[in-house]
Amino acid sequence: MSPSGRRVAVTGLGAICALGHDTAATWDALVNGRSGIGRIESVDISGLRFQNGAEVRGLDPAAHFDAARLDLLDRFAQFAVIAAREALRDSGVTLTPALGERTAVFTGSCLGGQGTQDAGFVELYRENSGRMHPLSIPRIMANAGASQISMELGVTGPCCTISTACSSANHAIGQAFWMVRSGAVDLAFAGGSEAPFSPGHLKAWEALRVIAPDTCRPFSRDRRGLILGEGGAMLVLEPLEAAAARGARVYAEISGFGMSADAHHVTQPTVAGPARAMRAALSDAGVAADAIGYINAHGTGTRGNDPAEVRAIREVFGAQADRLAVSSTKSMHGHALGAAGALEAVATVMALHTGMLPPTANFTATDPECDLDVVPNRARAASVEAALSNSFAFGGLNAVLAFRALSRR
Amino acid sequence: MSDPLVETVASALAEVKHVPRERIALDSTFAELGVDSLDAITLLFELETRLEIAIPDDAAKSARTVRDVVEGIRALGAAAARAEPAPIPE
Repeated sequence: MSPSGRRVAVTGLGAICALGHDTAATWDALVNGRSGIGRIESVDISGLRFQNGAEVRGLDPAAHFDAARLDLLDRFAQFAVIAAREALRDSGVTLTPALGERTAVFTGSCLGGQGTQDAGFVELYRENSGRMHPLSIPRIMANAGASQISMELGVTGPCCTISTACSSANHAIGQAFWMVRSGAVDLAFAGGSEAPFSPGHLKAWEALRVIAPDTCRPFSRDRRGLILGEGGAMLVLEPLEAAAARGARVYAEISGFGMSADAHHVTQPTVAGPARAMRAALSDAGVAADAIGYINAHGTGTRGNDPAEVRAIREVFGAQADRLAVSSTKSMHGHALGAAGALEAVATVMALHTGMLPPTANFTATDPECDLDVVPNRARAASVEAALSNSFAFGGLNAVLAFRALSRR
Repeated sequence: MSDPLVETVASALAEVKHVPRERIALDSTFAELGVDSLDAITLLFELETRLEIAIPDDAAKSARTVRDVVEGIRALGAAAARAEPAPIPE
């Protein structure tokens, strides 16, 4: 029993990303080490210094939404709703009006509907249209994903959106977990979504000079930066007892959440901040460090992040660090910013559920500064008792989730 | 520091760091001046505007001093040798 309330189960998963349009396709790619990174197709990249991204390919929005609904949905909100639908279906939960009142939606988004904003500003400033489309604001608002999920599914409890850059989804999932654990709600949809591919936004990333010209190679000696990704993922969280009572399939237990702020620099990571967030997650879960067998790393593939994260892991885990498997699935689904933690939570939960650890793809050579077991290129069968999933954001905001395996079927 | 390219780099850096131009010498290191990674990419952005050049990411990563930046820009070729400040678009 958790020290501070009910145990919380993950009973539904939904995902859409460069690896596939649902959880099964996404997991199949992850566990086969297949990267979704390729040449960016949705934006004219002829004037851009980088060429590659992890885009959701072949999505026909009209197959998911009718025309009137689509008028209101930026791509990032489409991802949120598509993932939430899958997670609900997957959980087998029947959302009655009474349960809807006791249900939460927590979404993470770094950018909201920036693609809509970018296109609108082109019309306004370049085409001198003198006006913006009347549906711009409802499409752009960062809570559009949470609101659209609540409206479609009839969720009338606490719904909100958390925006903490690359940690958004972990903060969202963590808050939702705490609400279910405390008894404030009986069900939660938690995750995040992001659609960062617009000309203006890609130009802003270009100026930061952190995007790899080739691919994402976390922890690898020749890593050259991150690769942007897009997509969304949602988890259904409910009390373990309720899940057992209705005979639900439980993927894993979500057992802890830890947060910290570096209070240091807007882009340079620290070791102490991430280490405190990992310790806080372990403490919140009531789990000893030596029970952890796998960490889904933040692992962006930048020169700065990866060595700092490795040092933070060593600081928290000591000698145990050399017995940990640590992989970055961003090597396959890219860095989906506000959706990153959600996609990585799906990867972590599936790793615990199936006993297969997804690899760090595109790995070429060990960096002495990143000398952990990073599960290079090939998934590994491993029966892991508990796992962490790390997210560390620009602005120095860190959020770490802890999960625990339940008996596999 | 009569070299116009040196002058351009130094004045751009002074503006980025909000310090008097006199504090910046050719052999000033980024560490001495408190130039962090964000300051450095902002400097490159300024220089791309003023010199009307494009500075590739890989060329930008190794600079640690004002001199590194000046020499890096010279190495980028003839276009970079034009040290007269470019008009900034309205």
